[in-house]
Amino acid sequence: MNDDPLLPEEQDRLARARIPVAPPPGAEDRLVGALRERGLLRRRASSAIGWIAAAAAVVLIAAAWMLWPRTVPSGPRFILLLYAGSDPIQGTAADRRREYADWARTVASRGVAISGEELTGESRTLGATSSSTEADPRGFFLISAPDMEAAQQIALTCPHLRYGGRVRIQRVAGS
Amino acid sequence: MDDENLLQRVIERDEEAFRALYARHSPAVYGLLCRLAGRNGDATDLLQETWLRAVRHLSLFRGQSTFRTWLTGIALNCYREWCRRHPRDMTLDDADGRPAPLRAADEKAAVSQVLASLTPEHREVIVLHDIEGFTHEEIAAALEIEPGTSKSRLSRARRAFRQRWHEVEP
Repeated sequence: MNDDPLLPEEQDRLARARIPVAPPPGAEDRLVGALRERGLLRRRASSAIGWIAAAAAVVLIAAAWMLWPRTVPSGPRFILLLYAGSDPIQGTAADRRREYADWARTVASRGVAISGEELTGESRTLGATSSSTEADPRGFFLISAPDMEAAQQIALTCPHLRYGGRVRIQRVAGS
Repeated sequence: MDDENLLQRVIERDEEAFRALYARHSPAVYGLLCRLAGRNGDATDLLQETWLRAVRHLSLFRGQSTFRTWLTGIALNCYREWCRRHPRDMTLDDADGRPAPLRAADEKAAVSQVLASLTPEHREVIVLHDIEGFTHEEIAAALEIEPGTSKSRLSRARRAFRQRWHEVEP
């Protein structure tokens, strides 16, 4: 049988198409609801951590998406730099802040240390000039993760991607 | 926490463990479903059905393959059943049978568009073999066809892909 083999550039092209895609917002909660209805999952018991996280979310929204670390991670840490994508970021700022806070709370509930801040457009650059024309980041999250792959898995669920934004992941030195 | 520990906790109906498992594996499985069924609500429904079946039958998972492989097999079963229920939805061609004209801004978008323009049989075998890395034996088992059919189908699918690629190449 002639397999009609791929040319190297075709192999590369198709291999690059193997990209993970974050499921749409709300899909996870709908699924969890369906599993609860079938008795396959138990509703999460409220806990002190849950209340702290909920309180943190309220503060986040009121203080324009501000989040501070609840624990100091001892292992590797990664920064997720949030940039605008090629298209304008979708949705209202209030919706985004609420959703980002929910996301951070969900991530924290899985034992990941997470903190973050929204950045304004006010910035100054000092020192040597650079030829880089990359836009300023809109915000960042600092997360704990065992390695880059795990950090990417967390970043893939970040709602910023669903709003058409771009996320750059960098490991923090010395962590 | 590794999959094995999470799976045990999900069997015990632990919601947080399920959410961790979902976050870890859904982007890869959803990506596959999007490439097979199109990036729309169908892929989301298929992902939901995949997880519902997986959790329902989790006690049957023996660890003979990785959990990702097992979950992908369930996703393919769901996709095959969806194909049988929605035969008209499987092709993205125009009603008169001619493929829609293609335009693409970049290479990834071009690959997606070319895949969408192929027949379902060609799209499946290219996605599974050339993108996801399945063997012909694995494809045969997943799609309920003979390995030889998978090979000959792949050969035709690659020719169709090349022909369409030349029309859309960015």
